[in-house]
Amino acid sequence: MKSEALRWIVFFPLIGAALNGLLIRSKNPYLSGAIGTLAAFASFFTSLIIFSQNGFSTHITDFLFTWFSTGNIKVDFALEVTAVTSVMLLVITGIGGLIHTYAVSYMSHDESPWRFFAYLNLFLAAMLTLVLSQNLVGVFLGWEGVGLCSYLLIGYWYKENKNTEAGMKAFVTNRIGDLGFLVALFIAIRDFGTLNISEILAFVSGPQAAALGSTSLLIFAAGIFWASTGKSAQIPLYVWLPDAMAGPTPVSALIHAATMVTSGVFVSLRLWPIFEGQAQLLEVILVIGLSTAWLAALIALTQRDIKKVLAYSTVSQLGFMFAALGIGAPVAAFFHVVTHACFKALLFLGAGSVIHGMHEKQDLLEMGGLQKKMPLTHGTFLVGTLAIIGFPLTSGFFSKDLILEKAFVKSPVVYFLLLGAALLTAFYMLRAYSLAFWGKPRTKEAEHAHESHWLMTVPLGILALLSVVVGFFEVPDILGGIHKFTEWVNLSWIGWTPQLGGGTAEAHHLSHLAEWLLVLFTTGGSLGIAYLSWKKFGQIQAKSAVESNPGFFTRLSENKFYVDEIYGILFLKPLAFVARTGSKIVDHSLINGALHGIKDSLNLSGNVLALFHTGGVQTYTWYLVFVAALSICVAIFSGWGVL
Amino acid sequence: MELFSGLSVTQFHVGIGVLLFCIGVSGFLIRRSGLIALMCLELMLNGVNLCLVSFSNLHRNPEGASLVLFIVLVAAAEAAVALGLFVAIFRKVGTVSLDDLRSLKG
Repeated sequence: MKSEALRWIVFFPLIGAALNGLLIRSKNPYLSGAIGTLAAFASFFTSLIIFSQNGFSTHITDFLFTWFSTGNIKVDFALEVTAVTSVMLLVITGIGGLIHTYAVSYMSHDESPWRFFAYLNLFLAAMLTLVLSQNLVGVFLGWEGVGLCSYLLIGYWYKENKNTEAGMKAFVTNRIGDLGFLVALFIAIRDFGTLNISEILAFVSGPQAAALGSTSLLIFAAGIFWASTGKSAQIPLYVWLPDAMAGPTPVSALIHAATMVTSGVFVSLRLWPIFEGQAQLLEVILVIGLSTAWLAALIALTQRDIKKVLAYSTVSQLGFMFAALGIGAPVAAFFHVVTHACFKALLFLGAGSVIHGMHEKQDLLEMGGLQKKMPLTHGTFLVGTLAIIGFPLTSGFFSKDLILEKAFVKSPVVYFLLLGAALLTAFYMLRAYSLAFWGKPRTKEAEHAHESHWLMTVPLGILALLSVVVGFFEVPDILGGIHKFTEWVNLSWIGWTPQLGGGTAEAHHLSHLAEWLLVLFTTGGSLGIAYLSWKKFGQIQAKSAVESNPGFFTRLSENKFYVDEIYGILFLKPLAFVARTGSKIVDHSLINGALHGIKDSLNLSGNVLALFHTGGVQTYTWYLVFVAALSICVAIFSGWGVL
Repeated sequence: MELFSGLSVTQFHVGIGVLLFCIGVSGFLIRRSGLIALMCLELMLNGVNLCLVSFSNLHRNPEGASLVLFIVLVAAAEAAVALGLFVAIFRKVGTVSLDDLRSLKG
């Protein structure tokens, strides 16, 4: 089905960005914010209208123009909605709109709110391009666009060096990943002969793919996965995400928790039929997802900056999603993307509210006792915390439970590893929550903290509500058995039959008793650990009580397992050495030498010629006479036939 | 008509012209004073004039002789301008020695 309205989902934020960034450039945060927020919500309602008219998971396309065409490759600027896209659209524009609303108040003291909202809207436009595009080139355009906006927004407060450096780190790390995307594009052009996603999927299930052999499919999928490790912050390219917290908090919530970082999972999902055939690659994805979930959770245990805790938690949850992909459960992974978008955006915005109330203090040890000063923030943050640790009937409970159940079906070892990471999540989240909101205020700022403006608390409330209800789209059989989400998402891959049994609802082979046991075990463990953590950190009165002598593992965790330092020695130092040596040889010796040589020879010849230029009229006459005499001689001698 | 043995009138006159020209050139090159240089210039011009007249006579063609009139005219004008210039230079610099006038050097 065709729909012209589809393009407006992308155009509205683009128009908002142009208005804010190019035309109006208002210093009034409410004017700039209103433009940005309206643009986001306009997209949201456009999506809602389209879905209400056409049904939620209809295949809708919108052709704008042919971008370029060369040989047998034709790239259109065309948009396409499948089921998985439509869910993503609502997440991006809905949560994006709420975060824009929140940002109006959060950025109200900023010098250039127009710049902020222009970047934010530009990000939305790029993200929507990524999600909606019909072909991989359009996806790549959006992929790079969100990377650019991420860079711009991390370094938004560019006057501090640390922020711009974090932005550059994010940008460069993502470039390393993007190489994989390019490789995948080249493979698609060479071997599949098309860049259109549905045509690629049709090709892969067709007879030519079998003739092609599995190598190019493997390289294609591996390239996409490598790009995803960059964008979605997996080992080995996750290091940029914690540093990205240098950006304003709404940015962390929108880009680095809810939307952009999940685009790796999203692209893998759109191309799922290709991934499904690559059993070895899936094992690699599983291992990487698991280790990322563990490593990030271990680091999050000891971080003191509230945003860093949430950042590592995001990395860890993304690890969960990739682990789910690795065990062949794309729907579970995508369900976790959606629920995670709700509760992690909520947590980040809550943290932003705390930071705002604490006058830009982010250290957990300097907080304490905020539950009475900021009751609304406390309540919503608590809901977010409960959702992420999987408190029964919150959204995190359903999505995490789905992943763990699929993991158990795959192998109990995977289940226990994932469960370990989930228990760590419960521990560090309750630690952060208790340190911030319980105990006694530990600094002056904490004593004088104040509740935030209603523009900030209302989005918090809506997100808290979402964090609870979104989970009810997919409920396990033992609790009533709703499988709406699975049904929708399975419609994304038309004409595709699942091979691993991960995609469909009837795929689990567990008895009800086993399922009950699993759920009770998982939830009981998480809640137990959460209680212990709350006991340990909820009563801390003074800052010094926490700053004891750290042990070996604490130090390891506090220093993020020295990964940045190891990368520094392994990659940055040799690279800098090569660059410096290269510049010495090529720049200083070759290029400079050649240029100086030219300059010197010109100088010398000029100096020699200048000797003849005395300024005396008689000297010049001498030259004249000399040349005249020479000419006469030549004339005479040639007359004689000598010359 | 022969003046000296083996030399025709034309040859004699042209020889005198060349001699005058060479004297002019050497004077211009050797002497330092601007005024003398000017006189040497006149010598050169007149050497050329003499040649022109004698060739004109030889070929029975009045063009050469008429060109001389122009040269005399230009030489007179040039002498007037140059003398005026030297007066002005002398007022400004205090000398007309060619060795000291080197401001043409870039």
